[in-house]
Amino acid sequence: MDMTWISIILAVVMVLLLSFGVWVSFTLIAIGGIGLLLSENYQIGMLFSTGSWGAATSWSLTALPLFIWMGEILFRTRLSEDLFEGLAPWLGKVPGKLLHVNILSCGIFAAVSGSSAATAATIGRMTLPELRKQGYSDRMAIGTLAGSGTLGLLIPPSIILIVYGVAAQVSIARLFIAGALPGLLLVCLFMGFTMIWGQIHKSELPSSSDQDTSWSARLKNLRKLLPVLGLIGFVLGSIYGGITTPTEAAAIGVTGALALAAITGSLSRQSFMDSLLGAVKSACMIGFILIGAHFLTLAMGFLGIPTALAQWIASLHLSPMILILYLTVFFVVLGCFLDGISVVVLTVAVVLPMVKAAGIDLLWFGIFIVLVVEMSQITPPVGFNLFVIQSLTGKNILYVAKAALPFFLLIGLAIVLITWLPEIVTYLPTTMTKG
Amino acid sequence: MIRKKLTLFLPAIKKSSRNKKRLNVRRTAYEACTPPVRFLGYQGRHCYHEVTIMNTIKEKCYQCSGLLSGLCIVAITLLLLAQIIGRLFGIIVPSAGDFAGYALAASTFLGLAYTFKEGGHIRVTLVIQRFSPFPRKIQEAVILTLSLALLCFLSYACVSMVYESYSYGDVSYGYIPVPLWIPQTPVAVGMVALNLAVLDAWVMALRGKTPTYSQHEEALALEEI
Repeated sequence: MDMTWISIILAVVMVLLLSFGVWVSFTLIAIGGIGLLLSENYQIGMLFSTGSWGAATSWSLTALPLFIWMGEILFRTRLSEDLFEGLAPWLGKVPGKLLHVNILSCGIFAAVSGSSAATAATIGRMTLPELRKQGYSDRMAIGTLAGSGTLGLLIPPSIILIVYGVAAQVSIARLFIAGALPGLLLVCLFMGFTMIWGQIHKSELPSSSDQDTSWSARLKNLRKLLPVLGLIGFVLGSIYGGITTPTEAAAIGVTGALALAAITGSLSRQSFMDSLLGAVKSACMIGFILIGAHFLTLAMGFLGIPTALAQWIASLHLSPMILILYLTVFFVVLGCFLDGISVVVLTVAVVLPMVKAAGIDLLWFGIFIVLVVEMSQITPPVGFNLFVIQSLTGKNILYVAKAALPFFLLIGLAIVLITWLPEIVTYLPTTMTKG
Repeated sequence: MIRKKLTLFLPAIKKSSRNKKRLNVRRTAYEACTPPVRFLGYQGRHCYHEVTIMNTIKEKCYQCSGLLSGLCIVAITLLLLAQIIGRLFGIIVPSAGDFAGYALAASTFLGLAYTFKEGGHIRVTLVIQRFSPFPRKIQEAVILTLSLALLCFLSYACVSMVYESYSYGDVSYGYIPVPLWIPQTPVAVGMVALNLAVLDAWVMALRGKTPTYSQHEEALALEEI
């Protein structure tokens, strides 16, 4: 059969299956199987089982359940309270005041957790009621939370970067380190915007804050931040210094998180089991999607669709910039209906050879795609951060999306910046000792 | 003055207490999900003795799937810690990477059934949540039938992989040669367990009940990315 027809059939069947509520992982496997059937390859069972066995035992993927578990443990500790109390005295005088607590504590939590919804939920359940009580604008409190919750995806450790690294065969240690500077860039953009907003809309901020901003309070509360900062330094430092692989760093991170939970008295048999079973749920879900994506990539390779697509794009003689622009629009649209991980695995199966052919660095592309996925986290109708905040506040999803719109645009600005200055992404990895 | 203060504070208090209530509702819903036993008898109607025993056994199997998978994650952590600590003292844990990989595969596959039943596997609900109850039931029955067919095939594929590894006597390439069928067995077992979980949901859907995963999908999973 003609390849164009096969591609069209596969795309239509995939859209049908996904929209009728077939699980994403099942859909990926089914499409892979149908693709192999159409290309008259009948070794489907053997290809699936041996391919999955190879994919499921990969060393880099081992970091995934561990980092998820680490986030789950910390989610059940007093960490969000400690972050609020530790940061608030420092930020009471900055324009925009305690709105910055949202951004910074999301940034810090993102450095110990790999998921954006978990970041938004952990920080939001503490900060949103507090900010409301002190009379901050609801809209801005929700917007800063929605925007900076997405930092969980970019600031290492990041689940989605592990997924990309495993699927695209890029070093995860390098991806993690590459994500650090763009993550900081986003934090700066968010804080800068909040300061400007704070200067203009003074009326929507509480005029006098009861926040104690004396130096003694600052230093006293700073101690609450030390354990988590230590954990971050240890995990990221050991990856950057090449002392451990990300997988080993994850094991250390889990141990550190358990120790932190034990010290703060939130470790019990119940919370241990809850965190472990929570980790099982996420890790199995993502693991199975990756297995499905691996099989789909395999089938696509047999069909030759990605190579044909790459040749077609090459024949158009697009400049990389235009290609990036098209891809951004395509992913944002895709992200409106699919979650981040599905976007990444589908992309890797089909788009990657095209990106390679256009001469785009795969490390840079990983960070780029994570930024786009961040945007899609806060676009309706499907955006997990929107769902989380909707359930935290009870506000309508469109309200939350509107509040998050400036932050959506700021992430867009960050994409422009890293396209203009790719060194923001590639500088740190080149200075790494090894890996 | 006092009155002014009151009007200033009232909405805030109201809002925050409403918020707390909402949080509490969510929390109890979440807690109700974790120990699957609490869902026993929730289905009502079929209160025959055997059905209850059957349900208890099923619940135990699902729990077992989750616990085994969790145990593998703990095993990976301990193995990696042993490797790191061992390296400090110059001791090399042989084939630690291989064994971590086997534990990862076992964890991923063994937990599939538990994850499925808890509504952990993600799907696009944007379209189907707009269906009215009857078409929705048909839709669930149709996709479960398709999934069941797919999974029967996948189970067959995984079991035959284990059988082939066993009959050809394949061993791993690492420092310690391991007969491959041993670490591959959990993969096949997990796949068959997922197959049974889908079968369970399919039977429920055919009887006109709401499958367990949909009940859990209502409560938003925070772990989702």
